[in-house]
Amino acid sequence: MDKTIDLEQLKQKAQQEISQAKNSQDIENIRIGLLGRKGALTDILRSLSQLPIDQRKEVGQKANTLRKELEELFDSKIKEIDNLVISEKLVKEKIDISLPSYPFETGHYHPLRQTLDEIAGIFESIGFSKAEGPEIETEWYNFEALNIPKNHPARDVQDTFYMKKPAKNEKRLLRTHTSPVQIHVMEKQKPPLRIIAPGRVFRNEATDASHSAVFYQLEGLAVDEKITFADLKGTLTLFINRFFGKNVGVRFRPSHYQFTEPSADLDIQCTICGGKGCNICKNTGWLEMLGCGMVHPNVLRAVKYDPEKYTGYAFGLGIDRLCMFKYGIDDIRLFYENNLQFLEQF
Amino acid sequence: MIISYGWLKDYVDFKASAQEIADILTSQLSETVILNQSGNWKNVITAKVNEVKKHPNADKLSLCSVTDGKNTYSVVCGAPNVAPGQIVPFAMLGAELPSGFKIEKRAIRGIESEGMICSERELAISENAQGIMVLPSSTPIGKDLKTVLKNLDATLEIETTTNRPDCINHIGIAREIAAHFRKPVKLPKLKSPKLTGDLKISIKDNDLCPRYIGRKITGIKVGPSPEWLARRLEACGLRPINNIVDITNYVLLETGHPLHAFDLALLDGQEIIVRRAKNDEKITALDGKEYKMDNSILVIADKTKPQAIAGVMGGEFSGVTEKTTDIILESAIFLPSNIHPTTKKLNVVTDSSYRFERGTSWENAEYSSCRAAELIIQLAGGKIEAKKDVYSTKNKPLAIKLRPQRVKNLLGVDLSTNEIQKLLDSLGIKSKKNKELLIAEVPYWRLDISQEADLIEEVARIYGYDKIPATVLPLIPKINESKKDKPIEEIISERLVSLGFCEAINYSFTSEDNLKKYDMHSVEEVANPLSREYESMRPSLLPVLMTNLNLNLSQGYKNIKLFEIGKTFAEHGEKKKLGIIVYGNIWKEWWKFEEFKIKPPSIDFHYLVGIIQNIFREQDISYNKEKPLHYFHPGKFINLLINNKAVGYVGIINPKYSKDTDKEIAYVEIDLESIKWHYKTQKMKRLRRFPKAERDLSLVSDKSITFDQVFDSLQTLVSKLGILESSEVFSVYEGANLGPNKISYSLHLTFRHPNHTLSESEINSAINTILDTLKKNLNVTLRI
Repeated sequence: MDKTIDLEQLKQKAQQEISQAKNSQDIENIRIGLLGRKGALTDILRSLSQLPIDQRKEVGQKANTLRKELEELFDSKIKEIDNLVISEKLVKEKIDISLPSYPFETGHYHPLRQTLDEIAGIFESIGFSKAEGPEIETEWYNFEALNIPKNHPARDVQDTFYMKKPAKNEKRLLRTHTSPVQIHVMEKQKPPLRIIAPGRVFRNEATDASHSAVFYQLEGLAVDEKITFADLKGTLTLFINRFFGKNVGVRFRPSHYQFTEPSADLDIQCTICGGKGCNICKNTGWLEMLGCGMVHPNVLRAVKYDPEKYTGYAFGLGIDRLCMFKYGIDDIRLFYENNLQFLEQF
Repeated sequence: MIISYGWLKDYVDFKASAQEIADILTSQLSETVILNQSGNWKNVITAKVNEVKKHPNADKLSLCSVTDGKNTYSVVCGAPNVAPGQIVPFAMLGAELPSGFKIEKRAIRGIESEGMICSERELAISENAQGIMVLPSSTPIGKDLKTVLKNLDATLEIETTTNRPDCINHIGIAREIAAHFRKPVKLPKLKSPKLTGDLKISIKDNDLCPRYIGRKITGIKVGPSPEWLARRLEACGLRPINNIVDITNYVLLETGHPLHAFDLALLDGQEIIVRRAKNDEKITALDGKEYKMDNSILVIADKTKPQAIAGVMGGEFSGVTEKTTDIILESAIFLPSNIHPTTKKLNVVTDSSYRFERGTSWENAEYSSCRAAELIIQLAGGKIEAKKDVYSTKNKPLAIKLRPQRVKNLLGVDLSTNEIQKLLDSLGIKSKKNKELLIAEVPYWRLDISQEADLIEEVARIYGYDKIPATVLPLIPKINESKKDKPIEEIISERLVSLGFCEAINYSFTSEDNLKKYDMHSVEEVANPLSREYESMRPSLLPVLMTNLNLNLSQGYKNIKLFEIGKTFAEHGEKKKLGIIVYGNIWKEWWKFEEFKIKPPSIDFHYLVGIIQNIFREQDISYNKEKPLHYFHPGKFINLLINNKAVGYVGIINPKYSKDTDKEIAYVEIDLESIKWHYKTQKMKRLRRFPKAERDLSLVSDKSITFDQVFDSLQTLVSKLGILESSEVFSVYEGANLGPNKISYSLHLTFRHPNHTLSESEINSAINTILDTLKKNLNVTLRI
């Protein structure tokens, strides 16, 4: 009997059966029929020893080749069947992906906090550190130490809320600016110092879309030997560039604050109209951003610093207005209402 | 302060336009804007009206023929005063008026008009809209209107700062412009005639009035002011009254010194007495109102009664009227620090008090008195009969040392001594060199300059702020700087935001009524609140956060998670607190919950404590139940201890304060300042890589025993057993089958050995130890 013919027949039969297999069980059955312990090919391989030597080698080689071919056939058929099964499963499992996803809750920082943090971050990156002070102040810290004597009209500019309970010898009040923090810090620390003091301030003025009796300021103070007005200009210009982008025009113009001399106001080119003039900038093309100046020698004297040895600059920045420009908020009262419709936007 | 651009030219020569002047003042003095500008029109010429006919289709319109000398134009005109022969301002086709209105060929009631004859208002020359503007008959025609009208003006509004009272007038502003152009200031030259008459003036309270100058002028004729003067007053926003009052106002606007004229005939005893008011003394002032005064207020009185509130307002009784023939012209100096409280007490601010409280100059008082007297003689006739100048001490001019080196140190600009001198000189500040120093003499009008820094500001202003370089100091960190811990409020808010909380910011004050809702009262109150809504400093964050909660509920929000970090004001003073308010469900609704038959659970006490566990995750958290605060539910409340220090309260709001809501309101208030935060660095624990074994245990306990007693007992075994990795409760059950007052806790225990796979007997032995201990300590048994 010619074993090679047997092998050829076996191969044709197997190929036909495999191609007709429907699932992995069919494949397994065919495999057992051929390669199992009692399988047809196994039989042939087992009976090789009964063949004459000259045929043994040839048949043996062919049988082994066939076994490999068959195994490859099984593998690829199994893969084919698996793929079919999976693609059927995938078709069946198709969902409407447009249905709403899981509503994770997202918290939100208050837009004022975000603005404060952003500004503080800029100043911290150039060596300023944060300081704080109380909201209820004495006249000394809010006025006298800042070179604003009693009955000075500058006190009127900042309509003050006074507390019913006075301190020992003076009135207590809600701070009208963050500048008293300058005094607290300088009383405790020696130069050199660079601080920023973010915080809320109070003005006794009627509330409307652009005025709030409570608002946020950020105070800055740098005192050291050899600090100049040029350093003040440079530091604040750097801040404006980092906050608004470097193409915003900046101008410094004279102003007056009792606690700085020389004093200045910093304007930026109107971010709404780009300096052409609009009703936000009252057609001037400029927006007033902050007040600043060189620390007044009387202030340095009030905290027992030697004004001959030390100079410094200070600035005060209104956060609410800045935040309103940044986010396009048109009513300052929204900040303090805490409506989630508002808070969830930022 | 409103300044007339044209008026400034009386005192300094310059060609700059109104806009240029506004820009100069902004960069050198204070923000200045153009309020009103006439002359900013295009293509308006002078023309003559040749003929006026009735408009065929409209009664009130006329049809005019107008010539510029070369061409004639047919124009429709609506003004009643148009007449042949008039020289008029004529806006040709293509012209543009100050309002932006463009003149185009258009038909008016069917007849085409080739231009427009303008009124003063249309040209923004004045408010006069009563008909067209008629120019003098000598005016040449066919000329640009701008070249014909000499007194075209613009008004500037200058934001004057409190330190520059010398700039609340035209001469002061002229000085600034002169400084910019390095030009001289021309002041009106005054005569000082010899006077023989006498005048009775006495100062009783010279602490409040260092100087009083009176000039007696007799034989005047009160009447309207001339046109030029009235125009200037109007331009600056003042209403002309009569020549005498107008002159005092004119000089106020010119020199900045407030003046007052009394009708001499109405002063009892023809006498001026400067004295403090008596308590409850009354005066009816020029505004027609009666003011009740006290003895802190200074008055100008005659023999019997006050005739003026010093520095604030004259009295109605002795004011100048048509009948007045003789006056006393007052020019005085009043103590600024007394004028200010007076205006506060009487609640009145005038042009006069505005200047007196900022300070007035000694020399300017005399100059202004003299200037006004001369104008009166010139415009109202009469003669100056007497002058009396009463003062206690003379004013000495101030000399200040200025070190050029200091200018460099403060400004960061290296200016030579000569340059500094020139800059100061342009402002009228004369200085002399004295070795390395400059000795600067402060001019009499500069009340704000009292020390070196003030002079340096002047140098900086005139040099130009924009010319000062901008430099940034290099940051040199200190070598021994310590590590910077993140502030705890940043850590906490970061965690809360990541847990879905929104940050609220509320006013520091609220109403007493709002506090009462929670049986709270304020410890600190504002003496002069905006309204009763804002009178009480918040003693807790609860009332304001409840207001926020209610607002958002009314807006239809169902789940509300808010926190605020802010100050409270209670018995222990000002404290920085964290307030957390939570309401509604733990999760938002989702369509898929329906499919799995899950309902989002309501927020409750245990959820709230979970928040605390999360935000203080690396801190040692403990609690006690002592003395629940009144606004908390007594059974759902803990005092929170962080690192063994009481820091605040956690609980459910007492239902009596949350009647309007159907679910529980969870609230936390923590004193951030009392937290001692441990910034510890977690050291790594070795990983256990052998398989873990899990067992569930259901235990039955007496209800009097709290869960944490069971749990703590279990925790004590952790180190003893060495293999108990974790224990979690997965069910709490109370039921009749357990017996009365019994409760069951089902625990899921995980065991794992660091070095080998646990055997069944090791696990069983551990469980037996657990059961024995629980039985022994708490009489907790295995549920069967």
